[in-house]
Amino acid sequence: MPYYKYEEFKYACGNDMDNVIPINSVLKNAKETFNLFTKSNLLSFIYNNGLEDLTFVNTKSWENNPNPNFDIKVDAYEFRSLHKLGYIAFMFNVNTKKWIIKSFHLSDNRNMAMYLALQKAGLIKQEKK
Amino acid sequence: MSDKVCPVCGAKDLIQNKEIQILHEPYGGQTQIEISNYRCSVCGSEGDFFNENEEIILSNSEKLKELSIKNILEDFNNNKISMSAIERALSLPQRTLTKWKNGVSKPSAAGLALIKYLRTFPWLLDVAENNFDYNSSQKIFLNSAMQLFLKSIDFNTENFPEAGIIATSQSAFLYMQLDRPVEYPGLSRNEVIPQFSFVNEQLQITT
Repeated sequence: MPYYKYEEFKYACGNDMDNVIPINSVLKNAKETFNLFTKSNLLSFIYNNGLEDLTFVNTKSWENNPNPNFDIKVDAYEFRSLHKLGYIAFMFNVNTKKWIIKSFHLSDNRNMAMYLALQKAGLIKQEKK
Repeated sequence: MSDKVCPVCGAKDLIQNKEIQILHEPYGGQTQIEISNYRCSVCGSEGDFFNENEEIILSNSEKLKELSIKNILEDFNNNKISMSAIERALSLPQRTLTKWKNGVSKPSAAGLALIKYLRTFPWLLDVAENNFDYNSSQKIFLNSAMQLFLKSIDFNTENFPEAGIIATSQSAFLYMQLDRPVEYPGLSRNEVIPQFSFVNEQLQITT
């Protein structure tokens, strides 16, 4: 189960952009891998349902949290956009009231991209869950 | 040190750094810009925490896009493709491209994408000229592919005793007979190698 409601994160990307902060390599990867050149490009993409086939991966505690008494959870998802399989991880700090996009890059599980492409081409039958 | 607060962990130990970033625009070249980044010495997070770079990225990116439009349209002119002909083929209002080129008006993102496509694949103009008819478009595409393919053959060094195209109303077959040096292992000296065939509108490429 995700720790955060994804819809709340998505809403903030469209309506509270100053309080959504991409950190570390997020903007670099967004630019180089997904042609999203600015923070507003990235947030607008997320807000407008650009993360397709969103699949929850896991929830973990933020490993670099300097305050161990105050746990901050990170939700991670995989998504698809055209033939790219991506990965996003985000968290919310209740003290700073900021959503933090911690990771945004191609998924390490990219063999799925070919699987999804073949599935889209009708060469693999849709699996029933 | 800055007295600004790290949005990630809430600490006040932020260090501001200046970095050089390269912006690149297809057909517009590239430019270097200086951007600000902050690093929190407590949690180690870094980034444009206070949204200070967006404007400089956008304004420089805009300049590169203007240059891209100018370069693409000049390239069309140099290749004897007039702007009025492009406008006619694409059903754009006349002088649209001239206005873009002179900076009188700016193309939308879709307009810019369109002329980048035309610059990358000029044969798309022929597709428009043929009213986007599917069968004509396929033939234009294949003809373009054939021209590219033929350019890749070095007619000065390769020795072709025979080459040709066999075509019917439904299919085409391009072949070359190579006079190979004897040291090619496993191949006979004279061998007919099909390069690609086009059967019932389907392209088949021999690898």
